[in-house]
Amino acid sequence: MANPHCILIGTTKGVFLHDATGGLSGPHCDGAPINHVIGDGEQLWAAGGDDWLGRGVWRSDDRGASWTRFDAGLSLGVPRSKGSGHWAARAMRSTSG
Amino acid sequence: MKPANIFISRDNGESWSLVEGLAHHPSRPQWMPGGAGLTLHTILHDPDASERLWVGVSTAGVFFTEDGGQTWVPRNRGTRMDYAPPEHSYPEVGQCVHNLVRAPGAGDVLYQQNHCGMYRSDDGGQAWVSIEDGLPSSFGFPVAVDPGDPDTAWYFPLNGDSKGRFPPEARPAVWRTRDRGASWQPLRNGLPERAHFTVLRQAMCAAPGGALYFGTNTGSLFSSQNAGDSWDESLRHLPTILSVEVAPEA
Repeated sequence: MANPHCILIGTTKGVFLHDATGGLSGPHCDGAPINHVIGDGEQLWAAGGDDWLGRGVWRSDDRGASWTRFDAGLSLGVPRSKGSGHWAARAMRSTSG
Repeated sequence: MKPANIFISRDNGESWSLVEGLAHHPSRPQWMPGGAGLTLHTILHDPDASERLWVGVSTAGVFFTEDGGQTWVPRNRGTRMDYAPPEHSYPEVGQCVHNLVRAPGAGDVLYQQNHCGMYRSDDGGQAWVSIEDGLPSSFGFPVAVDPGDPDTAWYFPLNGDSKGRFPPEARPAVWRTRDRGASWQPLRNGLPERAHFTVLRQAMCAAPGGALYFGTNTGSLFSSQNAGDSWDESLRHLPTILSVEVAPEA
């Protein structure tokens, strides 16, 4: 059944998108376990990974059609940071929207 | 993530830095891993002040910063640990928070699902009050709040941490309050009469206009467009669902 929203679904085997027409796409994000996927304006963000892939953040700039994985700095013992921006943990939260 | 930490990016996600204010919090030696490890699983922020953040750590509790992560204070007063000796049931840190949401509007109204109870705070977590009276269990994972009404929230109680983690009596229900936790109503219309699924930590969300969605560890997505009064199974046979959110309008 169609819903009036595009639903972002994080699963143990990647991200699935259930759009307002009832369509389903996925798995996205390399099929990696995704703990949380959120939308922020035109961008979508997913955070996850596992012991084999390592932790990562995936970003889509085209509402889920394609995704890019980033992991630079997502390890322990890196320099201190200040200021606002995007926050990553096991969950995701953007402070820009 | 495990072990519990938070990272920040200032270049649109392409690189990340550890937030050391939490990584080196003075209480950190007291943090103990929960059943899923020592995880930081929930991040909230004040939409009007992005330097104000709350995080949930299992099992360390809720922590708050108002300087963009440089310093953090525990926000656990009033949340209990049933698994601790009675004289240690309300410590400053160590609680097993499961999920947090921030209500819309002025003030810092928060709702919390804990390993040991459901709670509301009217002051950003400085003090929590139990709102579990009337619910069939004190245990669960998700909580959602109406984006247009801070008095309306939904929980999905499970039967307990060591009893299978499925709905009490295997009768699935989303429980709704419209009065900030003073009273509760079970919402079952359209849900299976019997089921043994779990709804995981981030797997329930609300959207404006009464839309409510939750996903199960058995791969079903349930949808309501009337604040939970009735439900449809929109999807089934997905992998285990860990999170459900609504994308912003195009």
